[in-house]
Amino acid sequence: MASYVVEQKDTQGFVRLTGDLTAGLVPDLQIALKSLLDEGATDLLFDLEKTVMLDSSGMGLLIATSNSLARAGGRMKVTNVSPDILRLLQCMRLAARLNVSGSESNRGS
Amino acid sequence: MTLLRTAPTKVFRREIHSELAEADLLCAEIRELLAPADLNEACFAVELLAHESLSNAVIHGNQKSADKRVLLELRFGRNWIRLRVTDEGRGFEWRKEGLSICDAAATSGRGIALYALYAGRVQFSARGNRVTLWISRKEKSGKQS
Repeated sequence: MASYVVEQKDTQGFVRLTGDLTAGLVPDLQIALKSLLDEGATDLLFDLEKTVMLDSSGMGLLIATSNSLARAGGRMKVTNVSPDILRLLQCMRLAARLNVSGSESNRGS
Repeated sequence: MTLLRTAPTKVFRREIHSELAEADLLCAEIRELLAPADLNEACFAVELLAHESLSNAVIHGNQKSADKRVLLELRFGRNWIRLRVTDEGRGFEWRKEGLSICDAAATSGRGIALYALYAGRVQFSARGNRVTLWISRKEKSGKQS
């Protein structure tokens, strides 16, 4: 069962994860993202509100997507990440590259 | 009172087939095991390192071979949690692997760097088909670089 919901409106794409973004999910999500980009999405928003775990395979997928969008003149944003995942992405020096923001409940803290 | 606190030398062992779906299920089981243990940041570190080491074992070690298994062992000490993952592959030249963080544009090659970031100590077997990671129960994981 897919652990994500993908929506598109013109050039805007939305990817809402409903679970973790780890190696087991990456091949399936990769296909869905390629389809999204092929259909013209150039601005992508990843919502990780329900995501507790992100591993190196998941990071690789986010970076590959970001790279593809950059080549097409688009951009992507990753929002609602948990404090643990935010710290992980900061440690891996990826937070700025992936345009990451924390969850609503953690903003301002 | 938790099981882990009252039994600090508790050992948890599982064996899985070389499939990422089984690795995900095992990590979910580990999350449930750790949840009541009041380990704070160590919970995330243990689960992240379990994901990384199991993925490496399934993909690179056993190369998803159906007849090969992956063994995971968690040992709970007073100050440390020891995670050990063993596969049946040929191993790899871990001495040549760098522990540093790769370029931000790279789409792979972060697994070993995560070991260094979230484990206090990392040890590979001579052949390279077994990794042992020690995670502090007390110190904050995820060292800022």
